Amino acid sequence: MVAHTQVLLRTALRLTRRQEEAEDAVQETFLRAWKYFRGFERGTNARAWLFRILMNVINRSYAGRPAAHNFISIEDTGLDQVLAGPSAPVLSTAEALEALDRLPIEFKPVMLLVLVEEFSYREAAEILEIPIGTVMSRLHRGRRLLRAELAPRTAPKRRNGEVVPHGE
Amino acid sequence: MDCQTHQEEIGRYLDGELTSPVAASLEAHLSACGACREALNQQKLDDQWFRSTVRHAAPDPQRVIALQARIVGRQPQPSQARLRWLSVALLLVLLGGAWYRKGPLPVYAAAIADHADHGCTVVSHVPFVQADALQELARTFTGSATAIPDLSQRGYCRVQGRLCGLRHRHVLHLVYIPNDRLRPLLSVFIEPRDQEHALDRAMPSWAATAAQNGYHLVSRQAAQFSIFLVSTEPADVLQQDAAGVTRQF
Repeated sequence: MVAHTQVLLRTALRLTRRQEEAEDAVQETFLRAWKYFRGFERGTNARAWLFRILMNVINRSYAGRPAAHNFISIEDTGLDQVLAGPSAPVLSTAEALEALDRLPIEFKPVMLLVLVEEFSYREAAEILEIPIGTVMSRLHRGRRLLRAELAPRTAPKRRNGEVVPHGE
Repeated sequence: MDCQTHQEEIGRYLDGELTSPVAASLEAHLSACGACREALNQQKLDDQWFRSTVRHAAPDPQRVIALQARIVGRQPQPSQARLRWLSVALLLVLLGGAWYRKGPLPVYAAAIADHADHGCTVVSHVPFVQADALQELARTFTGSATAIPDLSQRGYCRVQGRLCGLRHRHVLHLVYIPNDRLRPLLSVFIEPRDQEHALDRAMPSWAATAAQNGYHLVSRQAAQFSIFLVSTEPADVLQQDAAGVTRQF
């Protein structure tokens, strides 16, 4: 189970935005996993089970946190004036993480689980204990908000026809 | 079906969540609509950017290794878990079993929980409270906020607390979490001084149980409180912690 530490930690980091609190959340996740291991059905998805525990830990520990910055509305960004043609955003590491952190907290868990950890919609719904329709709507809205956040910063950056990952 | 509807399907298409007929319909539309193809490619780029940014901002590998070491170190071993369970059972027998509350419980009282995992063989009938409720807990317990000593000078960064039922008494139990996560937890029990002396009476049996599990115990008397510290820290460090706690009463 400890092999999942890094993937759990990167998700916790994006949700808590504090290194020590993310580590605490991951540590608490494994403690609970060992404590309630008898409740785990062998043959089912252990990774999803661990993420479910992590989400519960974070929700309980940080439920009282002040809300993330109010995000500007899509209409105010001039989305309809985005440069023609798809393009990859060009940001420094700090700018990229700030852009992620500005996403409202309600959308981040779904985006992290589906887009980064590549869980299915059904798995994400079970992990977060929300309806699958809510997963779809939050993912859709989160993507739109991310596009609005990135729209002013896009510029072509490709190498051999493929997008250059951030940081390279 | 118009472009807006198809563009709303693009995310689910990239996630592999469209049914085959709907995916086929979208693909047919994409082959004929440049605007929707651009939207698809842009979404693909955005998703790749999001994924790579999060993965690229992965935590320092050394911190991950250190965290894994802490996690493995706290994993209960079968023999230790059995020994702790026997310790709890022994303590329950020695103390006569039933817990009795004196007066109405605070609003956060809950079911009995076994907290032997941090070396304290005490059965509590309230859960741990969050840090922001600690002051309320202290005031409920003592009538003032002074019952929660600050041990930040001793390297402890956080404290959790609860009220324990012990020999028909309420005893305040605080767990201090050190800054250096490789150090063990510190448990501090605080009881108002009066004729009851529940902690003093429990100490001999606790001392026997603690010694079996490698814990040290220190007791101190402040003006209005009896204080009892338990940890696997070396005895001399625990004495210093005890002095730090007592100075603040």
